[in-house]
Amino acid sequence: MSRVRTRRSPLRRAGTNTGLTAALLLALLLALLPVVWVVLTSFKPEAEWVSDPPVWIPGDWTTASYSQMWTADDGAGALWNSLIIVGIATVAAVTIGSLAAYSFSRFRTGGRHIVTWILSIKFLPPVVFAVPLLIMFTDVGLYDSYRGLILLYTAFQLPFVVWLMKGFFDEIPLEIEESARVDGCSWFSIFTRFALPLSAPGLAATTLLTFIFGWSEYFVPLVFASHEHFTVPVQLSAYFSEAVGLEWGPQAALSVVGVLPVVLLALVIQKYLIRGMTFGAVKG
Amino acid sequence: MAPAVLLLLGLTAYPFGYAVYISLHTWKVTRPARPFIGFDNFRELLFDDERFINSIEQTLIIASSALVLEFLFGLVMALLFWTAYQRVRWVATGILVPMMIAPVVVGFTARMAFNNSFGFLNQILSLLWPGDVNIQWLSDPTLAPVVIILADTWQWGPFMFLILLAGLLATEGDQLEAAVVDGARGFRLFWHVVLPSIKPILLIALVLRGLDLLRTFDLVALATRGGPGINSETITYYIYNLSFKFFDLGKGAAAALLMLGGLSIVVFFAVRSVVRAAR
Repeated sequence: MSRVRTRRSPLRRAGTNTGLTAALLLALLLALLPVVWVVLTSFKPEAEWVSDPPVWIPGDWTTASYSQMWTADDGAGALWNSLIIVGIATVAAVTIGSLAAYSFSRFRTGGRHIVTWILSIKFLPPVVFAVPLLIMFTDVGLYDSYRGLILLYTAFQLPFVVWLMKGFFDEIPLEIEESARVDGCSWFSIFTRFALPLSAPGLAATTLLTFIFGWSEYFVPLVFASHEHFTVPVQLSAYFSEAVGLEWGPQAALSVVGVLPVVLLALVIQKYLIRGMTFGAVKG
Repeated sequence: MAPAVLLLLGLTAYPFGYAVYISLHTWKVTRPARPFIGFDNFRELLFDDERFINSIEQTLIIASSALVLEFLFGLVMALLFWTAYQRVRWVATGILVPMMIAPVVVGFTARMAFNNSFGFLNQILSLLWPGDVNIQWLSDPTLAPVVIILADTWQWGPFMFLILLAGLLATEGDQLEAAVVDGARGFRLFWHVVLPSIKPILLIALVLRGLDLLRTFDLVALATRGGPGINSETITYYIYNLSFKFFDLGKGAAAALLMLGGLSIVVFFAVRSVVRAAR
């Protein structure tokens, strides 16, 4: 009987539903209010970017901030750089990372330590490696180049891909692959014809999450790119240089353009968010 | 797997060796001479550099406060949502939005929100509080770290919420009911039954957040730039300043290695716990 009944939290007494609703709505308001502010600010005329007291609703809705950000401040260039760098690096990281993950999952290559080591890298602050890498990159001509940035993004995303994909591969029952093996399939064709298709949702989620994390990356392009190869996050921070005043309008516009696609992507794979953000430790 | 390991080795092991080499020299971009000075850079940082010590303090203050706030927010929200989850799923989706926003955008938003005259936070506080609230969030030495803490909590509280909710939803109803039948209620039920059952997941959440907080950079760079003065300068931000603003690469590398040393100990235990929990 008790299984049929809707489960109720024993922590909560009956009759607190109004309180619950109020608390939830308050939390929702707290979470979304700053976002709303940024979106509204991006449509304000220049006089309302900074005003005391602050104005919430633009008196005169305008897309002037967007055009300034897009052309005069070259937000379009930054967006393009982000797309190229993060896009290619995501494909590269997912490709290399999946292969590595499969090998860790099926053959326990290198034992447990190497997998742990790979995860550890993810937790090290990139600032630790920045200077030596910068000198290296300058020496070999990779500083401020697409190739160099893509290489770094790929490397920093790898641990994440390896861990997440390893989890997805671990979940595929071995029987299918074993019978394919008996039928004479090579490991590589088992990988491409069985393992990958069977973990397709996981692969898609991993790809999108890798893209989202890469999209937010700030430190790497800050150090390893000059103006020509700025990505969206660095471009956003560049507005704070002393020469520019309080350019809240264009900055908000760039934030909206830069963040919106990623938030939408993330909502699509909401189911995999926890799993992704805990490196597969929490299955969600 | 070979390409992955090679790439990671090349981009970690070699730079690490190089960093050690740099840290043992007076290595300034502005000066061509780079004499070997042994461990002087390390000694200077540890015993003769208040700014380095300050950055450690700020990092620890920010990281621990934000971690506690995020945990409390996440726990309260998760407990509220626990039973009503199916009905109010859409609220959860809304609460998750901050987590998906790039930290630099959060930093920029915080810079706007906390501005004492143009920001909306003082405006809203003025509505709730009698009188005209004019708190100097960004220029008050003690409040600047609070800005970082609050902004980080805004962004990552939802992460804690999401993880703890997953933990709660996975707890066994039978076990709870048995405890209720035995007369456990309220706080005792929470402490002795609910909390132990979500402990592994809770541990992972705290570890991941804690590690991220210890290297807070993006948020500081956009929201306060370590200011006013050095009152919200975290370790990573100071190391960045040493190397890329003061061009003192020797000292920067030494500071980075010290941080790496400290963090390695934390990471070792943290990763171990995550790996264990993942299995």
